[in-house]
Parts: sequence; C-alpha cells; structure tokens
Amino acid sequence: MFKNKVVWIIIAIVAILFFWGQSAYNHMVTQDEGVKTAWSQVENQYQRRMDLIPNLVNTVKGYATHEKETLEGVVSARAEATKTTIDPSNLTEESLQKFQSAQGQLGNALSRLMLVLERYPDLKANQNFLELQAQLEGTENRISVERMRFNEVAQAYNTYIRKFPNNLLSGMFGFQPKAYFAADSGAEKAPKVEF
Amino acid sequence: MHRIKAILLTGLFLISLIPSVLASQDYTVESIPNVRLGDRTDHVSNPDGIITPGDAARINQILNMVEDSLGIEVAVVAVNSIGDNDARMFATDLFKHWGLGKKSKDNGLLIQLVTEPAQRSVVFETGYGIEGVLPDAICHRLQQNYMIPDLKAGEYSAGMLKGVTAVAQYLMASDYERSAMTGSPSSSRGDEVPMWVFGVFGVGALGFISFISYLKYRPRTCPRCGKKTYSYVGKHTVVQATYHSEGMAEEVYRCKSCGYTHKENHRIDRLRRGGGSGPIFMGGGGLGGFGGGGGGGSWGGGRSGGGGSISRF
Repeated sequence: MFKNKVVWIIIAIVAILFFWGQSAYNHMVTQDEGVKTAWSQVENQYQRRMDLIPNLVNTVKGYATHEKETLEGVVSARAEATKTTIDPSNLTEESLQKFQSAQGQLGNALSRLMLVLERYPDLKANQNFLELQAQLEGTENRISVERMRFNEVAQAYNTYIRKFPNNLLSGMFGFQPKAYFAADSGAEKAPKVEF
Repeated sequence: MHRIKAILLTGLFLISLIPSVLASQDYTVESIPNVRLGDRTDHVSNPDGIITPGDAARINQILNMVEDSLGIEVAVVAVNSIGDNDARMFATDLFKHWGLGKKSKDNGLLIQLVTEPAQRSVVFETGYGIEGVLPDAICHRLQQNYMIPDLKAGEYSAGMLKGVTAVAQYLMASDYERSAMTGSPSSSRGDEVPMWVFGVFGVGALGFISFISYLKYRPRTCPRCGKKTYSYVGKHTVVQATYHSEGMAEEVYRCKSCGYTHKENHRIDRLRRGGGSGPIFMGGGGLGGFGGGGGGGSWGGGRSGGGGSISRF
C-alpha cells in the first residue's frame, strides 16, 4: 500500500514537471521565432536603404561632379555593408556589433554625401532627387523603428530564458541570449537628410 | 476666519489653473484626445481648434467615405505643440498608441500637423499595409504639391483639408488618374491582366457549369423498364431549415416512358447567423475595432513601421 502511494506521487511529480517543461519550452520557441521575425524586419529596412543607394548615386553623379570622392565613399561603404550579414539564429554580441558598425559606416558616408549636396541648388530642384531624399529619410526612420522593436522583443526573450527556473531549461536546450542594438553612439546616428 | 481661508484657498486654486489654460499645452502621445472613442465617425483630433469646424466636418465626410469603401483608417491630428519630441518619432508612437488600421491589414494612415515654429511640420505616417499604395515619395509629393503652399501661408485649416482631399483622391483613383495628380508617368508594372484572359475564364466557367448540370440532368437507364429515359426532374424543399433545426429537401427522378418515380431525401444545413452561407466577400467590409454598439469605437489595432514622409515648412 505504502509503495503504491510513492509510485503515484512520483508519477504526479513527473507529470507536473513534464507539463511545466512543455509550456516553458514552447514559450521559448515562440519568443525565439519572434526575435527572428523582428530581426528580419530590421534587415529588410537596411536592405531597403542599400537598394536606394545606386539610384541616388546615379542621380547625383550628373550634378555633383566635384564630389567623386564622397560618392566613392558611399559606394564602397555599401559594398562593405552588403558583405556583412548575420545568421538570425546566431545573434551574438560580436556579430551584431560587426553588422552595426558596417551599417554605421554606410550611414556616415551617406550623411557626409547629403551634407556636401547642400551646395548644389540645381540638384535640390531635381524632382527625382527630392523623392529619393524622401525615401531615404523614410527608410532611416523605419530602421530606427524596427531596431527599437527588435530590442523590445529580444529583451522579452532574454528576460524569459534567464529567469529561474526557465534558465535550467534554456541551458539544457541551448537557448542563447540575443544581443541588443547599442544606443545611437554617433556612429549609428541616422543621417539628417533635410534641407 | 474659516471663510477667509476658504476664499483664499479657492483664489489660489483658480490662479494655479490660469497658466495651464493660457499656455498652449505640450501634447504627449497619451494626452492627445482620441476623438474616435466618443464618435467613430470622428477622425479629426483638433484640441487647439486649428482646423475650423466646417473644414473638420468636410474632412470627416471624406475620411468616412474612404473608410467605407477601402477600409483604410485615416486619422488627422493638428496641435500647436508636442514639446521637445521629434515630430517624426511622435507620429510613429501615436500611430502605435492608437493602433490605426485594421489589425490584420495594418491599413492605417496618420496625418499630423504641428504648428509651433520650432517643430512646424506635417507628417504622414503609413501603416505597413499601405506602404505599397502610398510610398514615401508619393507622400512627400502630395505634401509638397497640395499642402505646403497653404501651410506656409499660415492657412493651416485649408492646407489640411486640401491634403486630406488629395490623399483620399489618390487612394480612390486609378493608376492613370494618379499619374495626372502627381505629375509623372505612372510606373506601369506590366502585370496588368489583358481583357481576353477574362474572356477565357468566362468561357471556361460556363463550360464547367454546363458540364456539371449535364451530369445531373443526363438521361439514365430506368431501373424498372430499362429504357434510357429516366432523368432528374428537380428538387423541392420539404421542411424549411431554421436557425435552430435542419431542413429537408427532396430530389425527384422520373422515367418518361414508364412513369417510375424515385425520391431522394437530403438534409439542408441549419441556417447560420452572420452570413456564413452567403458569398465570402467579407473583404474591406468588416469594421475593425468596434468598441461597443453605441456611437463610440476605436481604431482597428493596426501597426506601422515608420513609413511615410515629413515636410517641414
């Protein structure tokens, strides 16, 4: 009789552990996917910026003939940024920092370009250029919005997997904490493209 | 003694109220009145009275038409000041706070005017779902062509009305009319379906329907006399289906030569409320985010990702 009771208790404990583990694990998976989705949104917007650049460079080339160097700076920064990609399942501090600095370089080169273009009134009257500028400005804004949302989602995930007792489970199944975007440190400041 | 104290206190209280009435308020995302909560046909949040009542009524009329026909939820906000907040970011935050657009479509649009000199700007914030129809460049163009001239002259109310009218026209217009509005050739996408495709589909559908009805009405062999004159005659309802119970229908087959008749009974599904059995054209008709049966309601819970355009003037 006594033995029977012990068996039942053990079964109950195992069942409770199982159901807790199941729900916690599934929650982690959902949040992990949420972080990946948020990341792809961030990447989309950076990609959008890179897609605008060839068009921008072509438009500007005809007007700003003396700014060859600045234009080349943008083109090479873009090439560098295109090379730096991240596997969304490996969002570590280090890889994100690399990504951010490559994109930051591009952002800087762009804002330098926009600054020198101030001196070309013909360009500022060009409809095509004005629209590219509006698109670029919209994209910068989108980037900062999506980065902020990514940080929010990543923070929720990190908090969840690090809390006790979830941390036991996340350690067991290899859920790694995700890195955040660093606050705008000047290098990542969105270039102001207003005239 | 008590009375003097009371009078003094009342006086102090009244004096303390004065600055908040006189100084124009710096609005935050939370403090901008969400007028839609009180009246779901009201799209214009205009706490500082920048837009005249007449223009506001006209704007509401236009925006209700847009919402009824396209399902797009547009909000118009006009305030004097938003403090030190960045106007662009403020629009994104306000959009998120209110949740403009239907939840599944994210088809909201926020038009925000700030008139304080340091921040003087008009912002369009587009939801994820309408970034395609209203790309940043188009937002910018509409702002420049239709709003900025009036806004620059201080005609805020007229400028906003013109802007809303232009946006509504643009949303409702065809590609051809759009290019006329923005003064550039429309980007012909080359994915337009030529008319003959519809013709082919039409003929195909007709053929399919006749094939099905042939299957139903074709003459069969009569189980009694064996001649090929036995066929489907028709169907009639025996018991009407109601919301509570199933109905019954009878399908009749008859042989023309010997008169043999066979009846088959079929169940008719219970009626469902909410047009479940009707055609499935629910599209933009669903009015997302009703707060209740009365006049109030909220926005549909849509999201934006910082798309749109800002024009400072």
